[in-house]
Amino acid sequence: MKEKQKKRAGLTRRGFISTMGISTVGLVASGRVSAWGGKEGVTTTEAGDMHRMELHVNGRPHRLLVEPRWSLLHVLREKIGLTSTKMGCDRGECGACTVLMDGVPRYSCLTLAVEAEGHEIITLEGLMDGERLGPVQQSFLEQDAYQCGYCTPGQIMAGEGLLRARPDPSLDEIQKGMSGNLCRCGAYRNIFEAVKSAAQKKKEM
Amino acid sequence: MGEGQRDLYYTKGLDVPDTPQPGTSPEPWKETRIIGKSIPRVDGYARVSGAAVYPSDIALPGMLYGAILRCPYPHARVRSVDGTVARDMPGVWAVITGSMPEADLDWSEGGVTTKLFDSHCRFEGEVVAAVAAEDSYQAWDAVREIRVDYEVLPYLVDERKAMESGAPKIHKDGNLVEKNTYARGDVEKGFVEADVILEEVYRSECLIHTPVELHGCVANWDGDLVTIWESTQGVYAVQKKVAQVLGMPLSKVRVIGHYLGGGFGSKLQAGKYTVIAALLAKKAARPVKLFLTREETYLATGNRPPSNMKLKAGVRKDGLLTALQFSCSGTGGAYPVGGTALVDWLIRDLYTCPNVSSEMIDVFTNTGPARPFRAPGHPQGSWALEQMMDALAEKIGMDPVELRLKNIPTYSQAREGNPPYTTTGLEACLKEGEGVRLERCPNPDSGRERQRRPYPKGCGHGELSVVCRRRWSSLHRHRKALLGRERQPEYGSRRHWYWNQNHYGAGDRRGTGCKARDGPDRVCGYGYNSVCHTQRGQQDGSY
Repeated sequence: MKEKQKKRAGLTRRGFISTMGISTVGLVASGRVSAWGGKEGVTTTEAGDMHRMELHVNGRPHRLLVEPRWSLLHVLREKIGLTSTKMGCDRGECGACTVLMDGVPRYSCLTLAVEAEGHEIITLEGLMDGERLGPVQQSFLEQDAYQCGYCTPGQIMAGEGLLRARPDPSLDEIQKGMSGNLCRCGAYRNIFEAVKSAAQKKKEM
Repeated sequence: MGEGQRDLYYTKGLDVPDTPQPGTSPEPWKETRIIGKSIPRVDGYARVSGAAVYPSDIALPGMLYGAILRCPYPHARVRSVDGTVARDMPGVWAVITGSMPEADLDWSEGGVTTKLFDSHCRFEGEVVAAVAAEDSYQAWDAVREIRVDYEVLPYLVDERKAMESGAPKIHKDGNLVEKNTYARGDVEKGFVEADVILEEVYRSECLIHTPVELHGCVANWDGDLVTIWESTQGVYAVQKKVAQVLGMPLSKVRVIGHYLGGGFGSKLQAGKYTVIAALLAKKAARPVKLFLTREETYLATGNRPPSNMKLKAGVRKDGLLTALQFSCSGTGGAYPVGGTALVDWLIRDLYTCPNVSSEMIDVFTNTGPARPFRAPGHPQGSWALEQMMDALAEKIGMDPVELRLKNIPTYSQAREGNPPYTTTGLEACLKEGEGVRLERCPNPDSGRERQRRPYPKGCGHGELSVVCRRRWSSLHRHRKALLGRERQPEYGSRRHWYWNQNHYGAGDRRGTGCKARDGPDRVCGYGYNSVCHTQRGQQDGSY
């Protein structure tokens, strides 16, 4: 097997920039992705090289071996098994993979798992209290804010993130806050209603 | 049944009347707990809690990930495929190409039989080879290392040029799939009787379904039995196709699809990826998850094809239609999968008209195969017909709703034997649409107060035949507003039935119902199956 790996590495040369080191992670988190290239502390790894990391998901630490190129979505779904986070487009357009990173909605398909190290990740499962639904989930259920339900986890996370930033949003703010999430079945109207009623529920808690 | 049992299972302490004797009517219940109430969906908790396991969420011990190499050219011939490098890459368990005996399988589509991995690639996205590896990233690494020698051929993607001399031939017999004609009465006589005759050309463009859950499946072998968790609207269609292609008895193919992240018609049947997943799983002797990328679903899993329509219509001053003459050309792509199927159905059957003729020409192009999309052919046909009805109404100075009300048939004009309708609901639809209030809603595009315009509220969703006082063209302009703001139905209400069509695409665990015109008493598919295998609506034969 080792021989095979060597052979392969020689053939493909698909080098990959990993983002190890606290300073780089900080830059990425602040959205300045262009700060990657040619900086000190940046190392190049081959596809297949594993990196040891710890990921905080839903209040629990997960020690993982990841390839630096793996997306957070891939790790959440296929390695940790939190399948509520869905893959719709894998290119940051549909929002089905939305999770909260330090309380802010984020597309996990466009986030590398290594970028998420040191941050608090919350998925749909993290909004539950045992078997009890969280307020946003409960509102989605009551307002029938879904049809096939595949975009729903992402919608709920976007709604949760919106309400954390703005506890009492207007309809315009809800529409803007939810605009990063597509629902192909067309349940938008009920989604807006659900976020509105979730705001009320959160206030009453 | 004992009282205790009854309470436990059904009534939770409510006083339930006994079954009435024959010939007597029971008193109506004064209070109901379910009927007339808005209640959460039975599978709602699973969907909002993340507990619902969609096919793409399936994880089996030792599961591998599949990826497919697809032809990057619209028209090409594969000279050779070399997967030796890919096979030796880390994590790779299986590589299959068309030259391997186990992958040398027939694939029938629309009456044309080719190979599963056909060396003649007739559209961009046709399968060429496939890989199973321990990780999806490794699988894609391996796909990139498969070397293919293509002979690139001239291609044709515009169906309007398919019949020109010198157009590239997609199948050996040329580019014409079929020409369908239909006629009743005498159209020429009808036009003579008409007071107003209008003729218009309409075109509809290609649309892609784009359900948010990608197409794909997980396949696992247990001896000679294969189990497939497929994201599908039709488990039996998938079972049949897989059994047919692999030459297995139906009893050895099990298809499971508890949840479905949207389909809208594109997941009514198995794709080549389903069989490929089964082949990879067999070869690797491990379960294989094969979900396509979004780009692949755009190329190869179906679309509503474009159509070019011409409609000539005659109407009398009193509003009775005298003649409809329709012609349409369209394409189902590279395989004969009904490019113009049912496009003329509404012209034939929706409104009373004694003299109708239609001609439909279906051609081949180097594009991905078509699939039904929210009722095959109907959206295109109604795009032409309803605009024409509005134009006719304006020409004879009649209200567009009144014109339609005057032409409601009581029997099917185009079906053999002209069976009468028990109920059509078309009149109710029209009248409800007529009564729609124009409410002031904010424009979702701007959100600014000064741009607030009135939108018709409460009508129009997806592909349903929207009938209201607004012109179709203006509805089309406002479709964004409509889609964002449609009113969801109260379950149990009549409107619920009108809208139930949505759930065909959603594939949820509730029953699925009938189509807009059928009304509440014409349920044509209702079940509580874990998978909604929908039946065709008897009245209009659509999904």
